[in-house]
Parts: sequence; structure tokens; C-alpha cells
Amino acid sequence: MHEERHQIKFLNEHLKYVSNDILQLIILPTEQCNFRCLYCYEKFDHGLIRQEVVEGLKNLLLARKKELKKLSVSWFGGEPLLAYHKIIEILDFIHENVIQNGRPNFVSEMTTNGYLLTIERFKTLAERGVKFYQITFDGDEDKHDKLRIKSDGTPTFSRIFQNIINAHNTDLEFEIMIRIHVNAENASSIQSLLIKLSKFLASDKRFRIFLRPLSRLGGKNDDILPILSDERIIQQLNNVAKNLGLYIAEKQNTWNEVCYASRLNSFIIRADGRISKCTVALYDERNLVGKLNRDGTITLDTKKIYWWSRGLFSGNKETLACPLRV
Amino acid sequence: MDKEINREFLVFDKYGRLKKIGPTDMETICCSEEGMETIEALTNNACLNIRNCR
Repeated sequence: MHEERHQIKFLNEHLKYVSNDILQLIILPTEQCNFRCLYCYEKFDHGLIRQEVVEGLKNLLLARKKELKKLSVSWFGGEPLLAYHKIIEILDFIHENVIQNGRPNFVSEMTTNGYLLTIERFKTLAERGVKFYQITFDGDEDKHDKLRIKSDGTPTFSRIFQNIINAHNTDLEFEIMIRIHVNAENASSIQSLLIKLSKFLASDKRFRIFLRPLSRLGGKNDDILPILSDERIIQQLNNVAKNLGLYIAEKQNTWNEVCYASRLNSFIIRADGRISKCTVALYDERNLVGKLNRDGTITLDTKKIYWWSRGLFSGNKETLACPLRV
Repeated sequence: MDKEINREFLVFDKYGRLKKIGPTDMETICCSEEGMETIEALTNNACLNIRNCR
């Protein structure tokens, strides 16, 4: 019966995506970006996170801290480092007012273009528990600087590369996933990049290579993107990376995972206080599921939330991996 | 026996915590206008089966 699907019959393996002692917040501290990547799907409608949203986050965490065993905060954007001082304000609040005697266990990650990740900032963020990063290249300098350019049209490769090498030269504990978009025109450029990276990062387990095909995600240039037609090249490039002594990211097949959008204890907090579930479909009405209020309470459209989390009820693995596409 | 008797339903509290509620609480919520909107969204008109509103 359709009605009975709505009962609480989660599979045991999914309980951690329902539990109240785990909270995952994906915070967009700004929806502006200093890059204008050719394939980007974002519209940059909202600027810096509003102070009332920062206060709402603090109050929400104060209200929930006693029951939390694990708190995960992911920084996304826009480019989150454009809001560096807001990030530090929130992180300092968490360490001073939420974490007590090591509880909740705090993990934090950042998806950044890496351009503003100076060594000083990297160290400051690491001290505050931001230890997982995802930084993207689109090939070596020749190809990368055609696709991942600054908003003023200037190149970005050399500065990102240098910031990564600076991180390598520290003895800090962290993990940087170097995401490399493979397209129909950049295989040889990626080989060149892998050789360049390996000269510094070979045998450094803190760096992981994640090769994945360039995707159409709803951006205005989707029709002209050089999308890969034969993805076997990715395995070949993975082998090149391994042979160069680079480490490969373990979770290559995202279809075996439960997307954060499916989880009932995961929320995206946008710069203007709206709550979403998916970081890709930012402009889809289905993805506007609620609002964070200044007092820390959240108003949720439960019907929309249910739609995103329907995989937890049905057990359908593809829906769990990407509720938007299935 | 009414098949609703052992059912539990899922709602969020004001801080985004998930709460499982049984049929008695469910009746209370369903019998309030505001609560009814919340619970019906998650339970596909389950409130239609609650008959004891006073």
C-alpha cells in the first residue's frame, strides 16, 4: 500500500541518516564566486551570509548540542573563502560554545576552488577542524585556464597549484581531494597535470586524485561543453596516476552511496537562510524546503523533505544515491 | 482491531529533530488544525483515519 510506505520502516543500515544524534549542515556562507567556470550552473544571486542567518545557526547548534554525538559542517558556495571571516566566526562559536569535552565529534570539510586558500588560512582552518577539502582542476594549465577562469577572465591554475604545494609542505593532518574533470579534449593535458602533481605529491597520502567526467549540470553553456563520450579513458588516467605514485580517492562510484540530499538529518543552509537539500539543483522549487529562523528554529516543508528522502523508505539504491535524477 | 493501532509516524520538531509518534500523539496532532497540515504531508492523508477528535 502506498500509504504504508510512509511508515517508519527504515532499513537498519539507514538509521544513521535518520538519527537525531548526528547533524550534517552544509553551509553556503556566500553564493558569490570569484570564478566563472564555463560549465558552472550557479547564478550568484545571493551575497554574504546574513548575520541573522549566522545567529540562527548558532542558536540551532545551542539547542541541539546536548544530544549530538557527531556534528558535520561542510562549507560550500559560491566560493566559501570569499566569506572567510564568517566561516571563522561560526567555527570559533562551535569550538567555544558547542563542543564540550570532545563531544560532539566535529568534522568539517570545504569545497573550494583553492584560489584564496593561502597557507595562513589553511593553517587557521585546520586548527579549527576543517580537514577535508575538495579542489578542482580541468587539466594542466593550458586546458584548465580555458575552463576555470576568474570573474575578470584572468587565469587561475598557477595560484591554485601553488596553494596545494604549500599545503603539502606542512606537517598538518588533512585530506585534499584533487578533483579533475575529464572532458573530450583534455586527456593529454590531464596526463601532464598528473606528472606535475606527482613531482610533489607522490607518496603523500593526504592527497587523493578523483577523476570524473565533466557533466552538464544546468549551466548556460551546457550545449557547448566537450562532454566525454567514452569514459574508459578515466580508468586509463587512474592507472597513470597510480603508476606515478599518486593516491586515488576510494569512493569513485557515488551510486553506491547515500547522498546527503536523501538524509533526514542533513540540511543545506543558504546565505539568505533558506534551507535546501541538494547543492546542484539550487534553483529548483522542490529544493526550497524550509527556512532557518534567527532564534534557531527551522520551518520545514515536510512534504518536500519526504520527496528528497523517499529512498530511505523504499530502499531504492539509485534514489538514495541521487533523489533528483531518479 | 484497527490497523492504525501499532503505527508510528514521523514529524520534525522546531529544531529539525525527527520524532516518531504513535497513534495517540498522532490523534492529538491530527485534531489540531496546524498539526494536521504537518502530519498529513508525511503520512499521505493518514489523519483521515483518526476518528476521535473531541
